Amino acid sequence: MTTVLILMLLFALLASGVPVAFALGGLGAVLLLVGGFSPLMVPQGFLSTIDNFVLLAVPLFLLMSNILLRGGVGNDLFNAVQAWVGHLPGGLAVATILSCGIFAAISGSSVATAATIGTVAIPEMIKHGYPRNMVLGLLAAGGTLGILIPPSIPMIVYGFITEESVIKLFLAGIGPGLLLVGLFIAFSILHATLSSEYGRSEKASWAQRRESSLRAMPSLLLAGIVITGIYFGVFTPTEAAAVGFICALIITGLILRTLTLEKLKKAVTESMVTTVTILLIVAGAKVFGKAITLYRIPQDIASLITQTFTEPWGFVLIIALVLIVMGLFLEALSMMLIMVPVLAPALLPIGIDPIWFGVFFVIMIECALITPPIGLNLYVIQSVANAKMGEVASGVWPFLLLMLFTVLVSFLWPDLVLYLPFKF
Amino acid sequence: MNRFCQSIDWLSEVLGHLAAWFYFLTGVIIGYEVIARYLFNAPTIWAQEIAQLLLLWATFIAISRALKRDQHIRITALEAFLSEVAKKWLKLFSLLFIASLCVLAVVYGGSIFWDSFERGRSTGTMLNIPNWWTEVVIPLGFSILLLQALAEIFKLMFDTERSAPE
Repeated sequence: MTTVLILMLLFALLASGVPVAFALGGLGAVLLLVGGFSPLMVPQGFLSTIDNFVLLAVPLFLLMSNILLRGGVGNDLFNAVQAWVGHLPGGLAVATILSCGIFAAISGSSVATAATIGTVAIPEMIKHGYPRNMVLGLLAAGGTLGILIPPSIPMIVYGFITEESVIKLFLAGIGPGLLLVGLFIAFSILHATLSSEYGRSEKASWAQRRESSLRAMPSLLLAGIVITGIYFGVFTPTEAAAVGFICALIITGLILRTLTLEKLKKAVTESMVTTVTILLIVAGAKVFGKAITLYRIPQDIASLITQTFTEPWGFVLIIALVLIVMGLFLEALSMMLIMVPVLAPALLPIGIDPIWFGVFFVIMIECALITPPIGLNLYVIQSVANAKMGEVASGVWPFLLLMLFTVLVSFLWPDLVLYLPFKF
Repeated sequence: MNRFCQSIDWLSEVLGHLAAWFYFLTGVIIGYEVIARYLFNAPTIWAQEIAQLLLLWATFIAISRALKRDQHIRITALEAFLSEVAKKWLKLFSLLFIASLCVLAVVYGGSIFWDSFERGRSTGTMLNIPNWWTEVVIPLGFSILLLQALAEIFKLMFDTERSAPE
């Protein structure tokens, strides 16, 4: 009964437009006061959350990708990939997905990925007669790869809440990330072969290929350094982010010479805004999480879940449905911060690997990012392409189905997720 | 009162930009630490602690700028169905809610800070930084947020032009 009441209060606060961070933190404070617990836990919760080395990776990964974005790296990447595959049927779409995948290996945010690649790829594809809806949907969906292919800000946050290894989470995202890239590419080629609307691009000359590849090389190397460095334990995710940030400065400032002081200021300010808003929600969720634990709510929900579901698939199916519905209204990261602390205690008893669940959750968040009416990536593509919401939304659904298909595959064959972190 | 709003707006903007460069600095510091460790085989004792301190300061002094610019993440889907008057009342409720949370955080966060300050507690880590260097960010950050929330309430009620210096 208390649980239902608390959840209703939370949703009432969220629905009335109170910012998520303050709704969580404030309701947490109210619960502490009403329950007769020390309100000192409010400032302590805020303090101890942000005083954390793992979360330091959030601003650094954001700085890295925003600097690369402002430095026009998306353009170079897309040109390089396009020079190799652009002449194939649906080649520009394939190049777009590959560029999204590569940029995802540099960036931890799907918004940055969608914006970086979208700015270049959308006009190029439209110019070559690609169907508009499909183009917009492709970019909205391709952008979400940013949070599945490591680095990934939602995975850092998930690791922080559940105290799971961020490195393992990063590695676990690679398998399903590559599968999604493959599925998106297959769909693009199929779509192009069956439709007559597409114009083909001319085949690039070897000189063009060499030149554009050389220009994209530093960014490719950077992606390689970040991932292999984390994988072989050369540095922690936070250190990898810092190294990536320094490299991003060197690449755009010294090698390509595309970063002006004005652009740097923009990148730094944008990173600050995103960091503050994300970290504050994490802190608010921490206060809320502490309060509901004192009310024994996660424990109650966990025992309810273990009593109801004897098999993991029922639980996963229900959570997937809840996430799809919640994702219609709620912003992605907030969804994770509200749901995961409550569900985490039930995972092990019911036989679900927390790392697998983290990846599952991230793919479900990706779906939430592109389901109307509220989907961050839809807004990004809408503003990048100057399109109507309906146009983006109508192009997005085939990709949504492919993402849900990936969830299904990873459930039936968990090694897709767990092989790299545990068995390699 | 207009004067008050303008000063708070100005303060929030300045602190926001300061915070942005604090984040930048943490990247430089951690990057330097990695280079020092691998290239010069000389890890620092200060990099991690200083970087975390900067992260704390940056995050809490930048909250008010995000409130001023309405950048905090919130659900806006339902606003489309509301009248202007209803929106105004909800906005007022939201700001009052934030202001109350601020008061609580300032009072209790302040007492944690004051306790450490008076007793001279320190972290006991490599740098042995006094605890209040970190703890003071809560009362400080939330005081500024409280002032900004009050300024926003004033702007809302008296419909003054939003001054948004870039």
